[in-house]
Parts: sequence; C-alpha cells; structure tokens
Amino acid sequence: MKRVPQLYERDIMTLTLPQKSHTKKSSTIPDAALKLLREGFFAYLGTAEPGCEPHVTAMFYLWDKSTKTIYLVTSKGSKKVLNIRRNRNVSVTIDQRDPVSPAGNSGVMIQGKAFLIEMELAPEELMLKYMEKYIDFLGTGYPLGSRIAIRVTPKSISYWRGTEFFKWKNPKK
Amino acid sequence: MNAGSTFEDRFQRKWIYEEIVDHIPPFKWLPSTYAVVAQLLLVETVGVLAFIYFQMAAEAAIFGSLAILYTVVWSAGCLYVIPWLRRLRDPTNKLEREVLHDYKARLLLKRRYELVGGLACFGAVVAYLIYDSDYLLYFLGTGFGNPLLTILILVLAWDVSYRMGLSLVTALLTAWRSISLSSAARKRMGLAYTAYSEVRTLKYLDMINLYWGISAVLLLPLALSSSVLLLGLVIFLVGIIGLSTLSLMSMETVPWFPPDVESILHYERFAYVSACSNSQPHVTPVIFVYDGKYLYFAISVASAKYRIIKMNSKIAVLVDMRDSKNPMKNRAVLLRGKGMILGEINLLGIFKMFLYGLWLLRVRNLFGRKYPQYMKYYVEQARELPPAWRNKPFLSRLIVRLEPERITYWREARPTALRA
Repeated sequence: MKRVPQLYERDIMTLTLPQKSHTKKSSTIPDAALKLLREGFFAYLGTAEPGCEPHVTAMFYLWDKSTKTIYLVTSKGSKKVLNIRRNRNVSVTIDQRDPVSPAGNSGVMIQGKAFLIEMELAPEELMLKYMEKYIDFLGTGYPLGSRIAIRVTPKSISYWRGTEFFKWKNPKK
Repeated sequence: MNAGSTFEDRFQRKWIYEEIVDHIPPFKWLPSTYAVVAQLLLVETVGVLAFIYFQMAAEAAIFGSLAILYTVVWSAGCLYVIPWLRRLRDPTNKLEREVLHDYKARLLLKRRYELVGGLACFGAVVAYLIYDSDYLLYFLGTGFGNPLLTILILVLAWDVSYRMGLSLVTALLTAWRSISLSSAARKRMGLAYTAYSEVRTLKYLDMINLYWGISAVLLLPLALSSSVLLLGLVIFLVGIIGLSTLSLMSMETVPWFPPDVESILHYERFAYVSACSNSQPHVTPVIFVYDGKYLYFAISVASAKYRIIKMNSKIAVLVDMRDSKNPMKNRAVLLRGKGMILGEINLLGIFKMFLYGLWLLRVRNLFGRKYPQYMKYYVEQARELPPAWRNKPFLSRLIVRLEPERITYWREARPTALRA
C-alpha cells in the first residue's frame, strides 16, 4: 500500500472546504467535444415530466456539424416524445467510458431546446447518414412510418475530460 | 367490505370473529371501529355486574378487565390486518404466486387451521381449571359454582383461547410462508418476481402480527398466580416472537428486483443520472453501487448535480448494458425516485449520518470492491487533483441514495414497466 500524500492528510485535519470546480468558458465548441460528438455511438436523452420529474433513455443520434444540431430518432408514442411535447427543454449526454481510471472519462452534455420533426420533413441526407451509421441495428425492417425525429439545438455545451471542464454558450440564443 | 364480491365469496373468506361482527346485532349495524368498542363495553358491563353481584376479589375485576382488553386489542388488529392481506396483488413468478395463494387459502379459507389452535388452548385451559379449582375459587369467591358465572367464565376463556390459538397458527403459517417465498425467490428467472411493494406490505403485516401476539402480555397478571398458566403464556410469547423473527429475517432475503434487472445493477459499471431544475433536465454519467435495495452514487460538492438535487430530489438513473456491435445485447434499467443526500455537514446531515453512518461504511466498501482502480487513482493522485475532485467523505464527496419508486426495463428497445 502506497503512503497517502501529506496534502491529503492535512486537508482532512484542517477541514478546508474545496473550491468550486474550475469551469473554463470557451468561445467555440472544443474540438475534442466535436470529435466525441462525431464518433460517439450512444446518446442519453434526458427529458422532464410535469413537476420537473426527470426521465432518461439511451438513444441513437446523429450530429449535424453544419447546423450544430443533434438529431435523434424515436417512435412516436414513446414517453420522451410525450415529455418533449409538454416541455421542450432537454439534455443530451454523449460520453466515453474508461473503466480503469476516472481521468480517462470524457463526455459532452448538450442542454437545449428540442423540436419534433415528422420523418417526411426531416432532411433526407441526414436521415440517410443516420441509417448508415446504425445499419447493424436498424436492419431492413425499420418501421419508418411510426418514427419521429427530434432535433436539439444547443443552448450550451459542456465538455469534460478527466478533471477539466469546458463550457460553451450559444451566443445566438 | 368489498362491494364487488358476491355473498358466497364473502362468506367463504371470513374468519369466525369477522362473521360475528358482520352478522350479529348490535355489531353488524356499526362500523368496525365502533363494533370493537361496543364489544369492549358489552363484555366489560357484564363482567362488572357479575363482580358486584357476587362480591368477588378486587383482583378479579382488574385482571378480568385486562383479559377483555386483550381480546379487544386482538380484534382491532384483526379487523385492520385482514383486509390488507386480501388486497395483496399477485407476483409474476409462478412459484412465489403459489406460495402466497397457499398462504392466503390456509389463513382465510380453512376453518381447520383457524380452529385447531383455539380448541387446543381452550381444552388445555378448561382441563387446568377443573384440575386446579382453587385457582378459580380465589378469584370468584362466593360466586364459585353458579351456572351463569361458569358460562361467563367459559365464554371468556374461549374468547382468549381462540385468539391466542389463532395468533400462534398465524405466526406459524407466516413463518412457513416467508421461508417458502424466500426459497422460491431464489429460483426466479428472467423478469419474474414479487413486486417489492407487496413484500413490504407482507413485512409490515408481520410486524403488526408480532405486536398483536405480544399483546398477550396483558394476560400476565392473570397467569402470575399459577405456575402452569404462566409457563403456558411464556411458551406462547416465546413462540410468537421466535416465529415472527424467523419470518422477518426470511423476508429480508427476498430480492427487490427480478434477476435480469439485478444482474444489470450489480455488474454494469456506469449509470446516467438525470436531475431537473427549472424544467431543464441535466444528464451526467456516474459510477455507482447497488446493495440489493438502494442505488448509491457519489457526487462532488462542487458539482451541478449537488446543487440541483438539493433543490429537487426527484432523480432518474439509467443503468445500461451496451454493445455497439450486437443489438441483442443492449438492455437498460431506468430507476426513478427520490434521491437522499448523505454526508452533508449541517445539522440534518449529521443526524442522517447518525442513522445511516454504519451503512455508508458498507457502501464505501462496495465502491472499493467494484472500482478498485478508481479508488487507487483517487488515493495516488490526491495531490494533483483539484480539491473538488478529491475522494474525501463529507468535504468534497457526498453519497446520494436512490430509493427506486418506478422501474422501467428495456430489452432491444422495448420497454417494460415493472412495479416497485
């Protein structure tokens, strides 16, 4: 067992409260965050039920870099669609897991407004890209008729890698 | 009680005591609470009249009243517990469903089980009273041998015996049920289980059963003057307490969730916590442990999560098994409920530590076993890490305990809602 560093011990003795975490404000979306958005496979969509009761599900997504928006596709009758109809504020998290060390964890959280788009009206090019990305999962019998697309325009994007935090706010809000 | 059920149905499911309350005036005209009070007043009045008429010893009045009080406490418990028991919903696991059906059938339908304990007790008490007539002579004084008084004494003895016997039989059946349920729960497959709200109800009823049995302490003064009766009462109390403890301990081993859900909660390493403030959701990944009942995750005092959960304790935690190659291997569990923050430094926080402190040591131990590399990292890197990131209990790290209220399980993108 390695000896615990002294600073750690002294802090326990003196009961110093930790400072606020250092969130760096960034004027552009960090490149690493964009890379993660492009390469990630699963997204976690958080919606709120009436009374601010959160709900979270794992989903497939596609990042559209030209408009800086994220597209998700789901079935029309699902809980999240119902929630979005009532409350458009959502949060989407895409992360990279490292089971060995917390320093290897990185992730992006997008907080923004969601728009529901009927599949016929959704940009065709993006939907094709989406189908291509998840070809193994969606298969041939993908029921497009019962699907609906969700577009999320970010109000803010947080990115973290290990202990570093960055936050980008959308100036166009 | 249940407006929808037929008369036949109702008749079959009643205990003798409930039949009396339902069918014999004046009890049948009264709501059950008043029926109990009316019973108390009626028997007590008869008792007091007999006491005055026959000029009995003062103890007879006091001890007799205690015995009547026992029957009344028991009756109140019975009228409270039985409707609850009838309302229990069925488990989805076949074996467990059979166990609960058998239990309910034995307890509520079969007169045999209801009467056997009472008759045994009554037989023993009457035999003893005939054998040791000095005991009655002491209490009854001049009234000893009067036929009306003998009938009163016999009615009271039956009242008490019937209740004690039924308590003992109930405790026996309950213990048997809990042990069978616990072993049936171990053979669960897939999504079969008993909803935890039902298990909780059963445990609660068992607790009431225990108090109910222990109310026989009221008979202690009556039994004190005779070593045989005292021995009987002590055996009864020890039996009730022992069986109830056994039952409660077996119920503790019944898992909260079906095996598919349990395995995800035990073996998956990341969870996504969603909290909400000002109608804006917030989702972040965390590491977590599951102790068989609650889900615990650690947060930093500098984090947004802490700020949000402090304001709105409603949270949702998604634990998923993910595989980007094989669609069949993607499963997820969503637990929703209230999160309780443990380890804060304020008055309430310290009080909570007093209540849950020892349990938190276990949680810390679980974290150490599930994430050995993470814990090692926090110890080794302590100097380089920003203060808010260090793994120090109370100062920078807090534990959030989630008690699941609603559960959704996904398998290949098809959700199933499970009852908590």
